[in-house]
Amino acid sequence: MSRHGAVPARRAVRLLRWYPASWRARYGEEFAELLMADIEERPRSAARILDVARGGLTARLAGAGLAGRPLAAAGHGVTPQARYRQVSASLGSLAGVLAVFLVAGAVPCSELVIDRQAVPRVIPPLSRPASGALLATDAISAAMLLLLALAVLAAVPVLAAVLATAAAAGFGRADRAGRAPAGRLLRPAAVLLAGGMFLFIGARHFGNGWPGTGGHGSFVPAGLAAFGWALSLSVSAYWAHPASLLASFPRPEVCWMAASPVALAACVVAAAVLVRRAGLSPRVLAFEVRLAVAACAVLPVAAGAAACWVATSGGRLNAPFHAGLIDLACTVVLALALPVAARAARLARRELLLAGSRP
Amino acid sequence: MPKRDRAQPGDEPGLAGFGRSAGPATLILSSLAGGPKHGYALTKDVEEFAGVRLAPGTLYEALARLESQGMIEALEPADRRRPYQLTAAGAAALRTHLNAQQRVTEVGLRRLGARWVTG
Repeated sequence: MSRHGAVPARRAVRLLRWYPASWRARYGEEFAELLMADIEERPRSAARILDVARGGLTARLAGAGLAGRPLAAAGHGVTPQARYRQVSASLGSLAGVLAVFLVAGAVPCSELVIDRQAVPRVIPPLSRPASGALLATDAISAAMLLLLALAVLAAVPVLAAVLATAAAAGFGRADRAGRAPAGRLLRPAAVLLAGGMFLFIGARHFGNGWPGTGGHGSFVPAGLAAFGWALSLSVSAYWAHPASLLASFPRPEVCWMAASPVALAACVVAAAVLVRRAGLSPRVLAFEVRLAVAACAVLPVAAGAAACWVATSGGRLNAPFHAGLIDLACTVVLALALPVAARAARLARRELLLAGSRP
Repeated sequence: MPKRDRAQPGDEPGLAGFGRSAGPATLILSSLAGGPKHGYALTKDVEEFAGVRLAPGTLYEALARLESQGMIEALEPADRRRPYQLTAAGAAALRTHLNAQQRVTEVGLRRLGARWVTG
């Protein structure tokens, strides 16, 4: 029974929501007691709210393997398993960031590849913006293809681990904590599968309307370019058109543009959860960290090329290689993703080294 | 990506690795050197001997880090409040940190006394 009143208790519970569930499970009760005592002493305190919010966000970022050092090198009582869990958390977050990067990168990439068909293969002499845009097209395309290959390489062992866990643990048997290991994997795996199939089928279907079908002059396979264009349609087209024009779009396409980001977000979250829960072996984790480091080396190429194109783009609104507001927004997203991905990869690598494995 | 990891504040042993949390961590360890205390008692004790009020979020961020590093340990909770006590590793880290601070304090005060007149 708490010695504090109902109002401080309510406010303490509200403040506690800033923290992740795992943190609340360990410190929640005692922290709530301290908060209630503090609230009774100082009923109104903006500093307290800010302090708790900062602490809660730091705990959430640390839990996601993106900030803080919950497992310090001095490491009294820190087990390698705890460090491997932290590596998985960082890799899960990195997977999410990479997915966002791939979609945001597909927008300028699609636009450049499509616009390339409007420029004849050899125009002597090419104008400076056009030659810059062609270079950016090649750089972004190459980087995106490489990232896609790395993502596929990274996904294979995770899926194998999920299947192995499911096969070994059985779907009905519970572990010592009362949770069925395979059951914990089943839901995110089902979400990932359903979302992935929806995106794949939808992007293949709507990719048929790709404007570059007539010949795009890029080394990106036409099917893949069309797929990327359709997948990022919600970003590149949905917001770009006034309501009157949007109303003239075929209804299925509008539905696709509304539903695909939701499916994509579900897939990203499910993939991150799956990586965290899959219980990857140290060897697989080391492999994944190597891929993460390689991906972080490729990301700046795509982001830099997009930034160069946006910065040097000029000309009329509908001219080839014109960069609009959406391209600028996507470039900002790409730039923001860089430090987050680098931090996740660095923390994953560091925890792996401290656990005794060499990436 | 850097080819090798740069040294992070968390990589260093003792309180030097706490970075901006070193202040609250020192205050908490100093308080616990006098005996086990729960969160609220810690806040009051620190306020009394240091004149600093540790905000709840800051206090528990430092407590969690100190506990993860084995410098303090949690005791059985009493009435929803969990007391913490100093460990041998925490005592050693605090001693090292305070000795280093004392050297800085002595040098600073000596130089102030030699060159600056009070008032």
